[in-house]
Amino acid sequence: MSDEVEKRRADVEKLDQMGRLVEKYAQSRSLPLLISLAMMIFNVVLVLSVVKLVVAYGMRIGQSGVLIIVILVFLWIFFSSIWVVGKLLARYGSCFYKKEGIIKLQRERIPIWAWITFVITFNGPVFLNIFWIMPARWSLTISLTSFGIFMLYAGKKDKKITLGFVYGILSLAEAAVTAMGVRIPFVNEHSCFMPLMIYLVGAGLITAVVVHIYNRMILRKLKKMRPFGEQEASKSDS
Amino acid sequence: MSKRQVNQIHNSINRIVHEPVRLAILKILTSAKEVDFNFLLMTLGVTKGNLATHINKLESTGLIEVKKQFRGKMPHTSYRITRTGRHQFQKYWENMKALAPK
Repeated sequence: MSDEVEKRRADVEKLDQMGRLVEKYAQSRSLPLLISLAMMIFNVVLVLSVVKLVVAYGMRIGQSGVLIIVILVFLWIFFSSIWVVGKLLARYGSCFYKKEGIIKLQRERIPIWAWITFVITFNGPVFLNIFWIMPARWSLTISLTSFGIFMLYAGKKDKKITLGFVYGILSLAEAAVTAMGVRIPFVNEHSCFMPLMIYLVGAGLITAVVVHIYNRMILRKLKKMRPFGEQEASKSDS
Repeated sequence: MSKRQVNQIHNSINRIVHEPVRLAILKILTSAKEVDFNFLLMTLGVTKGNLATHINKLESTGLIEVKKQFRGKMPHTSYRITRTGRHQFQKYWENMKALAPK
């Protein structure tokens, strides 16, 4: 009987390892991030187009009128994009992994104070820069730091730990480099919006690729560990 | 540990959980909130029929719950572990640790 128990104990430990791999695998599915980035690029193009249009017709409504409209449009697009991306990801995010199957982890809701702090510390410096109060270098540094910290926190809460970690660390590294005074491309003293978006989208793309490669490695390990042999499910190996 | 204690633990082991495929299903479900049939198939490497039989057994004993819904026009089935299932799995795991300590 003890042999049988010992064998079963070994099986259970193997399953325990499999459970950890399953969690890591689920936490590192990064393709939905691409939807967010696509939406972000779309929104930036939209914002820039609106800004161009408003500026072109700005003479009729005066400078303060132009600024108010630009800010309102920016805020509207920012919040609507969060909502739309959230809805899209909830509805279609897992479809990318249909062949491998769908897995949902127990997530914690990100508290409202975290969202508010993020929105203020991320957008505040951008507006201060627009109003010529803060130089682009510091505005970028603060916004990127805010984004990086929020990514680390949200990744932990939302059980996207790998994604949040890589994205957060990359953003913080960008913030550090900017603070050290490395020359910022696509920027003049009073325009930090464009480089901020380029940095975030760039870091996002790197994150999506790196985490996707990690995800494939975990998947390979998971398939090697299959406790009951290779069956027809191996067709889904992609 | 005395032979009597070993026998007691051995007798108290839940036979439904003890089966390897069902044990693996429960392990995956304790790690996740919800998984679907394809994910279990991919992770375990069993046949569809075999997996369906074990899932039915787990569902009929109340260890997991099955959620059936439509995504567009396609039926989609997902599984969650119940509170009883989680409790039974933890109890089983503790028994195994007690029987064969490291």
